[in-house]
This record gives sequence, structure tokens and C-alpha cells, in this order.
Amino acid sequence: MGGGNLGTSGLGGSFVGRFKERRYSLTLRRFWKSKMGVLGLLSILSFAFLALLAPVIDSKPGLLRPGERLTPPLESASYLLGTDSLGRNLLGLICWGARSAFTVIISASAISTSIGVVLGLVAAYYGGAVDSVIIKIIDILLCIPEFFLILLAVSMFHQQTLTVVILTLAIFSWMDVSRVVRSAVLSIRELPYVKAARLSGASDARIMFLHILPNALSPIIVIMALRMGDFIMTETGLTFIGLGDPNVISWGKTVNEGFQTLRVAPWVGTFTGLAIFLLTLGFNLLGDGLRDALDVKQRLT
Amino acid sequence: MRPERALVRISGLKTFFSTDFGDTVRAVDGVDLDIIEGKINGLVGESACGKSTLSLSIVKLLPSNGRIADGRILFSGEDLIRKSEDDMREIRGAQISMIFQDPTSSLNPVFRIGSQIGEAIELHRFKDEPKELTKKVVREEVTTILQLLRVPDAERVASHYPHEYSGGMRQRAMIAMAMSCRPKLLIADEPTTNLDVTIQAQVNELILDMVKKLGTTVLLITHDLGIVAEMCDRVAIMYAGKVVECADTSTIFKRSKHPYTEALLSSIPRVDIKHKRLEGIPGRVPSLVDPPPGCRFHPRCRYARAKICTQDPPTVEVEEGHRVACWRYTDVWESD
Repeated sequence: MGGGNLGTSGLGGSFVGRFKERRYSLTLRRFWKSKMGVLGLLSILSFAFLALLAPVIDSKPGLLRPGERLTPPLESASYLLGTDSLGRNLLGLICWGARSAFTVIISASAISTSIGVVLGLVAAYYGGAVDSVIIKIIDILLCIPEFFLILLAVSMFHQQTLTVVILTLAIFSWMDVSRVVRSAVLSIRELPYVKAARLSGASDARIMFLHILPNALSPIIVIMALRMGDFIMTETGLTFIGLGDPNVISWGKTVNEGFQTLRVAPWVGTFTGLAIFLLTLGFNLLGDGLRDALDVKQRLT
Repeated sequence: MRPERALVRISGLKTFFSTDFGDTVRAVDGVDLDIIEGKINGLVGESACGKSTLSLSIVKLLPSNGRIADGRILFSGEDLIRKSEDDMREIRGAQISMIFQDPTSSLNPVFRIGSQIGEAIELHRFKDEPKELTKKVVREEVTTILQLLRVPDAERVASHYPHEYSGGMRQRAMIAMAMSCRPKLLIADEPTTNLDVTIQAQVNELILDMVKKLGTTVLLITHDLGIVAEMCDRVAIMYAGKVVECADTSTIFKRSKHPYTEALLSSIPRVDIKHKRLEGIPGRVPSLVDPPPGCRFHPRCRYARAKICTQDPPTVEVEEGHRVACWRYTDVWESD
């Protein structure tokens, strides 16, 4: 344990050294101290690494090898995690699945965060009728279980490409971000420095995006990290039941197939499920770690 | 001496707030006030007498439940009340700027001091030019203004964040922000209330110095008569949403006419007189929702006469540049 501690703080020290601003370095130092957060980050980074290496690990993803069906793990040097019922390299499937998972997570959260931030900012900044309309939309969307809404939306498309999945995920998941941004902005907009900015002659847009938004970043970052974990679950859920892009290798599909051969080849479902579990856990731990590190109130103690 | 000219001429200004209970708070209720060009104009009054509301009315940055109900604010001959929000944005920061009470929360924690000071310059002087070209000029300008405020090592200070500095330094940064475009009018809303006394004196001196150098007109809002005596050329006394007396500072201190001013002055401890007991003003500040009829001060006034004082008092010019809103200086009072 002692060695591990030294290791992380040493890493933190050198990493921090490059940041001149004390404000950020303090946050970083606090983050490096939260072991769970770092663990989450490590999990995410290792999956990102696997996703990047996918073409190297398996240059022919999804290639059917009828002669090598259901090879158990570690039996052959070329298939470390074994093969599935169609003779596909499981490690390759997991790596390529990580690719599509990251594609979905990153694009969906970029889009949903943008929608959420803009609507939350506008609602809180202008208040009044604008605010009530946006709040009503959020309330209505939050009433319907998200997964079924997404399920319905995706199944309405004939061609369920990755883009369709990403857009649907994004469109039905910005509400949390909006609410977080709105509540943060409601308190920030009353601060004198916002008035000071207006007194300097700054426009509404400038005040919202330049003066208020940077001060509301911490909760946005935290909710983004936590949202990413949800995106993996929803995406794999969709592909598990057969929705989503049929031409893309995804974890949900692999788990489904593993589920069917669970008795004869338990490794297919187990390893892929483990991948889903670890990456989701990674994002959740990262989110929690960031929340602790960015919490201004705690910092005072 | 140059003839005195009003930079801002406020007449009949009424600014009201509506509350959640449906009441109307008459925070500023018919104020006439001239802000004399090139002078430091004091505005004195106790808490909640409408002095901050008056200043926010000038820049038209009232909270959402406030509105200007009536009156005119002539700034260099133009009525600010009729100006659109876009026009006001051009004026704010460039021609009229403001310093607030609390320098800590008036500076944005995520920006360097320099970029906050430079913002108004960027927004007004170089608004149509690309940022890359003007960056250096803006930075030089920021350094100049900080040096004018006697900030040591101005360039380094500009590159730091507000939390790295003390209250006095932050207040200087605030002043620099307000002065960066060399505005014609600077509204200072209790600029030194939150600072300790030694820093107060320093900051006041800096404001004085800077304003004299740049020829800025100042509206200094305070409740501290000591600061008024020290800094102001002219002073207006506000009570419950109205200006009750207005004169040169020395006149106010020597020959105050309004009973409220008198009471206010006699409630300051003085070293040259032996007080038995410091006098307060009896009664309470009237509610601005339902103010007393006529003269706002009459329920607490020792001279009040029930018949006359429940009528609105006229403003009487008792001597040149010395105006009092009180019935005692009218013929009606004598003949009654």
C-alpha cells in the first residue's frame, strides 16, 4: 500500500508541476488523492488503449473461422480470450466493441452536454417565460422512462446507424445537464461580477458564455462523467436486444451471443460483460472522484 | 474657475420595485439632482434610502422587478431613459462606469485581473478589430491604468488571479476596471465600506488622485459623512427616496438647513465638543411601500407642524447652489 501511495503522489507531483495555476493544481492534487477516482480513470484509459489498438490486435474483425469455433481462452496464442460460436476472436470483438462504445459515449455526451448547457444557461439567465417553457420540457421528458423512449425512437428508424443511436441518446439525455447548469447559473448570475461585466458593456451572450459558464464548469464536468457511464449501459442495452447498427461490432451484441452459448462457452458472455461492467464502473468512479475534487465547499476544510 | 455645468441632470426620477406581495416599493420617488461635471458629487443617506437604486437607475441595470416609472436622466444632454438596451451597452463601461462595495465578489474568479480590466477596452475601443492585433495595446493600457493606481509591478499583477490578492488590491483592480475606458462619469457605490480603515484611506486617496488626473466626474455614494468631508465637492442628502438637501460640502457642514441633515450631523461624534450623550434620530426610517404623506421626514422632525408638513415640501434655493426641500424656508411657514 505504501508503495502504491508513493507511486500515485509522485505521478501527481510531476503532472501537477506542469500546471502553473494553483487553482487547477489544487483540484488535480485532490483528485490524485482519491484512489477510487484514479482507479476509474485507469480503467477508462486502459479501454481507450484497447480501442486504439483494435486494428493491431485483430486486423480482421468479425472474421468467421468455422474450424475454430468456441476455442476456450488461453488455449491458442492467437485468441487470448478464446473465440465465440462463430469462431470470431473474442479479444478482437471486445477491442472493436470498445471502439464503438467510445464513439457513442464521446459524441453523444458532446451533443447532449451542448444542448443541456445552452438550454440551462438560457433558462436561468433570462428566467421568466423562457425558464418555465424549458423547465416544462425537461419535466415532461423526465416523466417518461429514458430507456423506453430511446428504444422507441431508435426502432422508428429503418436504418439504425451509429449516428441514429448517438443522436437519440443525446436528444433524450440532456435534461440532467440542463438542470445542473440552471441551478448553478441561478446563483452565479446574481453575483456582483456579473453585474460588473454588464457594466463594462458586455452583451448577454458574452456574459453567459464567457463570464458565467466557466464558473459553472465543475458540476458540468461531474455530471458529464457520470452520464458517460449511463450511455454505455443504454448503448449496450440497445444492441443487446438487437437494435443499433448491425454493421458495427458492439458489446451488447456480443453479450447476447454469449448469452446463447452460456452453457458451452461461458467466457464469451463473461468477458464482454466484464468489459461493460469495468468501463461503466470506471466512468462512475471518475465522476465521483471529480465531484470530490471539484467541490469548492469541501476545499475550505 | 470654470462655470459649473451638470454632466447628469436627473429630474423627477421615480424608480419603483414591485414585490411578490403585490406592493410597490417607491425606492426613488421624485428625485431632482444635478451631477456637476469634473466634481466629486456625494450622495449620502442611511441604508435603504434609495441611493443605490438611484445609481442603478442611471445605468439602467435595475433588478428584474424594478422599473423607472417616471422622470428624465439627461447625460450630456441625452435622455438615458429613452435609450435602447443596445445604446446603453455602448455607454456602460465607456462613458459611465461603476465601482461596487465588495471587490471580492465583483471580480470573476476564473479570469486573470488583467483580462478583466481589459474587457471594457476590448469591448468599446477595439470592438471591430481582431483580437490578435489589439492584444498588445490592451495589455499596455491595462498596465498604464494599474500604474496610475500605484500598483507595484503592474504587469505581474495583471497576470494573476483575483484570489491571489488582498481586499485593497482587489479594490484597486475594480477601480482600474471601471476607469479602463476613461469614462466621463464614475459611480462609486460605497467603494471602501468593506475595507479596513487604513486601506480605506489609501483607496480614497487613490480615487481622488486618479479622478483629478483624468478629470472624471464622480458620483460617490456613501453613508459615511467623514468620507464626504474628505472627498466630496458637493453633496446631496437623501432620505426615504427623496433628496432633501443639496449644497457644497462646506456649506452642508457649516450651514445645513434641513432638519434631517441637522440631525444626521449631530449624530456624529466630534472630538472638539464634549458630548454628554450622542444624539440619535428618534423614530424609524419610514416604509417605502407606504411612505408618510408630504415631507417624508415629518414624523421624526422636531419642527414639524401637522398642517403644513403633510403636504409635499417645495425645493427652496436658500442661497446659490444650496437647495432644501423643507417647508421651514417658505413664506407659508412664516405666515402660519
